[in-house]
Amino acid sequence: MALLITLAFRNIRRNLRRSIITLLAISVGLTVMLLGLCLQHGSYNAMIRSGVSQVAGHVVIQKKDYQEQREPLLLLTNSSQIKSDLQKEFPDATITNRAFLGGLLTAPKGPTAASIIAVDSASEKTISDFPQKIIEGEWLDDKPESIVIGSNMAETLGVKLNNKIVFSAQYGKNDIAFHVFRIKGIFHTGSAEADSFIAYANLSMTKNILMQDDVSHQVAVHFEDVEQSIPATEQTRSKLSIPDIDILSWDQALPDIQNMIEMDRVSNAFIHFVLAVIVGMGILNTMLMSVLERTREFGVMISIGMKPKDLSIMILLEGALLGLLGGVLGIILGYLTCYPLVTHGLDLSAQMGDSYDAAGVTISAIIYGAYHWPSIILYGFLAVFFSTICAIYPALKIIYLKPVDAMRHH
Amino acid sequence: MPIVKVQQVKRHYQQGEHAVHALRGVDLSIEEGEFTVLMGASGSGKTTLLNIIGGLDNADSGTVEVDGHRFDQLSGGKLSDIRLKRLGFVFQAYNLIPVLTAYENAEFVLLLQGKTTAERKKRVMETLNAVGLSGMENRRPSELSGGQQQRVAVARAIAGKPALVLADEPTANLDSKTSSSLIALMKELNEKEGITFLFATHDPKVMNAAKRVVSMEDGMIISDEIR
Repeated sequence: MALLITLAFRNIRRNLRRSIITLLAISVGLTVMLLGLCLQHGSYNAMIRSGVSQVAGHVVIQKKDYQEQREPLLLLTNSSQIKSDLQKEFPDATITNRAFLGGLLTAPKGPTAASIIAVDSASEKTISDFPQKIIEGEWLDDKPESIVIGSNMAETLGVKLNNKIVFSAQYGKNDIAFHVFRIKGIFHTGSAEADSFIAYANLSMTKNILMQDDVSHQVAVHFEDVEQSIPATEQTRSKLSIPDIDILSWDQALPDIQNMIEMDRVSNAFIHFVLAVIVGMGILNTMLMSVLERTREFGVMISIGMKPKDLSIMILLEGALLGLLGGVLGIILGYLTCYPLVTHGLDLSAQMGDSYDAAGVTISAIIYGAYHWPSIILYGFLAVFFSTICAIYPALKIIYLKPVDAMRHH
Repeated sequence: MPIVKVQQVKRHYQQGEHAVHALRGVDLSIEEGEFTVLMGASGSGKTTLLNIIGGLDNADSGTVEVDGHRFDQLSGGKLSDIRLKRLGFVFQAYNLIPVLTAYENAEFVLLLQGKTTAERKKRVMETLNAVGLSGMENRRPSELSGGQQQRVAVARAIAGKPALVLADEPTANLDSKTSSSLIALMKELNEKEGITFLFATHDPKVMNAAKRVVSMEDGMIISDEIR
């Protein structure tokens, strides 16, 4: 085998210009794929991070069926007890309770539909990126009348800081309930939907609307790393013994985001496959030319006792070596090309505004790339695999080579 | 027992609609230690016969037995084994492996034979010394003259200690002086190491060195002269 590897390596060096062109085709193809992967994983991370921080968590506890039905009266009771139990289980995590209330916000200028996210203000401040989007006033304090609204909503309602607004809603057979807010802050995300319809309030205000104490729709556990989601969800399922609740990992709590990511992955994989086939044709051409040129030499090698099978292995090794060298070069080029995207991000705010909405989540228009090393290593291996596959046909041609015919070849 | 025994071997090639009869029923027997030349004009069938004896081509009919093995009864793998261990080849166009050095070309057969590093080194140095190429071990074929390349080819052919070396027009691309030197080298190997040589050539210098000259014409042996 050492002989075959030596021969394969030297054969690649023999026609250096052709080998370099093939290596460039492999490495540039791989660089393009890795660039796509980098942006892809960066945008997935942003979507997950935004989704998890704004409306879910890495572990989400909700009343059974709330995930599907979104029925406001499917409430977790004793929600502060659940939060405290979880805090003991995960002392390093940030845990928050949330209630999602739809209704009307009314000001002297007129009403507007609103989606109020009632939160534990202190926890939410460390989790959500909305507190950083405040352009006037400040984030929520712990008073039940405090509210933070979007800039578009403020304009629609014709209100300013410290103005009063009234929230009204009716759930189930209850009478219409009212709650008076005083505007504590105004945020601007750049997303028209978020700035027009979302408002943040303290969880304590829910008592007036839902007529129950210590309730929420969701207790959400937040970790530093999304990878902790699945094991922590399993751990919570085994420890928390409360009837009629759902314990969800981030992807179960955010199925729309998960589905978008999956669809994007599939379409990207298809594009990458097409790219790999195009590069593969280049490799196949190189290998066929290289085999054709050496037909006479192969005839000599078979004549002096080399088995055609070993020659075929040598050709496969040449393909694998081209893939290996191209793969390593491609990974290096890909790493360097992705570096500015990872450190400075790709600013799409000129095209999309400061933020955009996807699957009900507000995401920053600056997309930071991310190195996803398992995918990078996998693509490196795929370069070797595809390159070897492309050498199969030329290698098979040699198996049937008759030495006397091969040596007549010019 | 003869090292080569060819009986009633026929071979034809199809050229378009015409069949070219390269061998028309050849009988030939060669004993160990012979230095034999197949002589004849171009198209007489000498290269075809040499290829068939070397297992590089198949006869249409008849039997070929080399070193006690009948080729028509062997698998492709076994035939490769015999070429590797019992036969050596020298071709008109040298046919060295261009990416390997002189040393590595001579070593190639030994590597395929599975010899150890020490055995290979000893034998390669012996053969390169025998063909007069000491000091040129690290040169690639492109860095050697035609005569030197053919000496490497001879070194490669004899490195594996074959019973029989088949040489097809080995001097055709060499000048007169280099040819004479190469013939003398092979003659010496024949006499000192007892290697059997079978040549296909129309070089008179090779014929003059031969102990036996077999003349061919139109795919048949027309004379067989022992000197």
